[in-house]
Amino acid sequence: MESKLFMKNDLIKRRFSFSSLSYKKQKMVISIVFLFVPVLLLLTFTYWPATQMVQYSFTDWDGISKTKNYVGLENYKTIFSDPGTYFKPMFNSIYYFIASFVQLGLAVIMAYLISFKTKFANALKGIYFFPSLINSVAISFIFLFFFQPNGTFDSILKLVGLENFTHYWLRDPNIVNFSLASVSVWRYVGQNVIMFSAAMQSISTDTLEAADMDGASSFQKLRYIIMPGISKIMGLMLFLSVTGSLQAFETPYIMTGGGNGSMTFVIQVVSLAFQNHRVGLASALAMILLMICIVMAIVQKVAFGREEA
Amino acid sequence: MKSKKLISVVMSVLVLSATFVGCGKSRDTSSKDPSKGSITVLTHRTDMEDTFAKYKKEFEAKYPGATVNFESVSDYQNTLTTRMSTDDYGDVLMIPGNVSKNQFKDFFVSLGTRSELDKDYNYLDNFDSEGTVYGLSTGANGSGFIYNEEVLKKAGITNIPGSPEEFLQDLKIIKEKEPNVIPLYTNYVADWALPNWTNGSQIMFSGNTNYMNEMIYNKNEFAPGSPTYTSLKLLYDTVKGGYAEADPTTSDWEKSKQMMADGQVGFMVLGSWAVGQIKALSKTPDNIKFMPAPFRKDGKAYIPVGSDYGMAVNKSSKNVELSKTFVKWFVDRYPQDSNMISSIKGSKLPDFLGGDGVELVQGKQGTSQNTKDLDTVQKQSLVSLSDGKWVKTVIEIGFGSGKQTFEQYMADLNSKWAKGVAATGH
Repeated sequence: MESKLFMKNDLIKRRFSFSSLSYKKQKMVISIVFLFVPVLLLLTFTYWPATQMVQYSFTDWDGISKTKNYVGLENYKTIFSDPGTYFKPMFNSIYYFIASFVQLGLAVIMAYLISFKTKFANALKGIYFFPSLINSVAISFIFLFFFQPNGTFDSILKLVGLENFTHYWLRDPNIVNFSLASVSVWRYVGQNVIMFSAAMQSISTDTLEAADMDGASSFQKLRYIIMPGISKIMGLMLFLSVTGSLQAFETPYIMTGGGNGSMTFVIQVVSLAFQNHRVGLASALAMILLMICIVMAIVQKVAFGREEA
Repeated sequence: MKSKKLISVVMSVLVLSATFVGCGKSRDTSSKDPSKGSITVLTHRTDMEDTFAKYKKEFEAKYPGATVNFESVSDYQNTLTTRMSTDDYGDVLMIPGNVSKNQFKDFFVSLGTRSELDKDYNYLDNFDSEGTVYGLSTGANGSGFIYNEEVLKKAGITNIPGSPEEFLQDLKIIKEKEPNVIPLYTNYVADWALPNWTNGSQIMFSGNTNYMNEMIYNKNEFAPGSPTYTSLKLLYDTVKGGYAEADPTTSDWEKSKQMMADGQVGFMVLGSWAVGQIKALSKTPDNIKFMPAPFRKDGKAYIPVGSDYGMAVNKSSKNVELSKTFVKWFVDRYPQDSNMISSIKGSKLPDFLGGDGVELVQGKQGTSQNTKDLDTVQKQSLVSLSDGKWVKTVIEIGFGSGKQTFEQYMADLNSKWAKGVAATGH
């Protein structure tokens, strides 16, 4: 009697148990469950605001009013009837684009040295990554002191006998964007170092040892083994730096607020939305930027991504 | 066994995410007793946490059963603009400058009619929409020039300048006689400091209290001779003449206060609230003085006095009565701790304001049509009076950056402003 009851229970249990599902179904359930939270977050914090932005771009909303008047393509007309004004800040992205190559180059070299040549690799990684963790207000203070006349940078130059190279680093409109882009490099290079050194650690040591036996120099190893080994992550980083330079925002915003010719496209969008209360117009500009980024992504995919397809 | 564990994990994940979906909906219900309950107060003063902790104690002691929580918000206006699209913007808050009068009723509780509150409170103009008042002024400031008298004396200047030419002459003398002193500090980096040259300065440079309403319809607002032009030209000439800090792009507000206190800066263009802060840093506080803009109309100088933030009660607050009580308590207390003129009728003016031939004036209140039109002009022209961005450009042109001249830039602003004026139908 008892054993029979037990059997029955077991049978019922078995009917509802997860393992009774087929492998394919199990895989599906697990995938859905694991993806549920990230997808939910993505939907609420990325896709939902983005669709809202599309809506705003067709209105004259000021960011606070309870009513939004539909104005059709008015905002887009405003932008395209005066492209000189609205697209000029985009040219400043070139500085950040160039800087991103410097940043990637530096990061590869630093990651290479850290991964294969030094002790205390983790400590060094931490040190390089540290600037990314500093609060942006603190960074703006640090670098305002750094770039002040007779500030830190000028003092260093004087110390090494380069008095003639001292400048108004932020006041001079020909230099300001280089100064800001270099702050950006300082700030974000650590992230790339971490990425690259992770990729480098996945390269098999056997290959490298074999290369050593064959008498390959450090440079040859970097060129023929490491670089191909990290090409995937390099491709991703390149893509991020192209869109990142179009969207350059934080460094110039905290340092100069976009003044003195350092205005970037995103600073312009933010200031239109919050200083001029033209959220509709700002959304339209943001939409245009989104389109440009999508086009860039496609171009890059076509140009570099053949083997991945 | 394994599958059981898995299912429990699955369930807990689902339950957890379900709580996510539900968040933000719960709201505590509060009692109807007007002096009991809990209120949250949003302010822009991230620097006054200690004072507010004291306020909390005092208020809670006076009204047993009440709980006050202060929340200081940095980047106040932008943050609040976003928060006000929900109901969650505290019970009591400072009215962000970008909420226009016709929107007050959508967000705030009426505090009474204008005629009622006029008996007890000054500076209600900015918070009065069609006769109903939605906020009380937390204090008022005079705008003008703060200077260190010692610096002027050392240069042999005994009278404060009365015209832009005289002002520039004085700056020149200071620069020549005291090479270590910065004659005028612009505070270029501090966005909030720059509208002192443009928003309200028109009254100092014209002596016309109705000017802010008239300029809404003036298609030549940036043409030579207009008050706006005069004010900006003075700034431009100052920077061009080398009388400002060597590198404005690395200027620092905290440092500038100390330098002014120590007699290393001659002038700064700020609200009168800053006088107290600079005096506090100085070993010789009596040297820190406040003067009207270098402009005289029929021998008279004008210091416009305008309200700082107004304080209002959130429309969706659960403790409206307690919140109202708090607002009244706060506006009585706060001006003394923030070096502002109290909005309570009959309160004393700070002694550094005024003097012979100086008149304190208030800008005339515009009609609600004026307010609406100003909004249109600023939006269409993309020239916002409270935005420091284009004042920065004037300074940049002054130190030789950019490709256009000052005259070209003014002409450009003028045509933009005129376009905005045209959009109002004038």
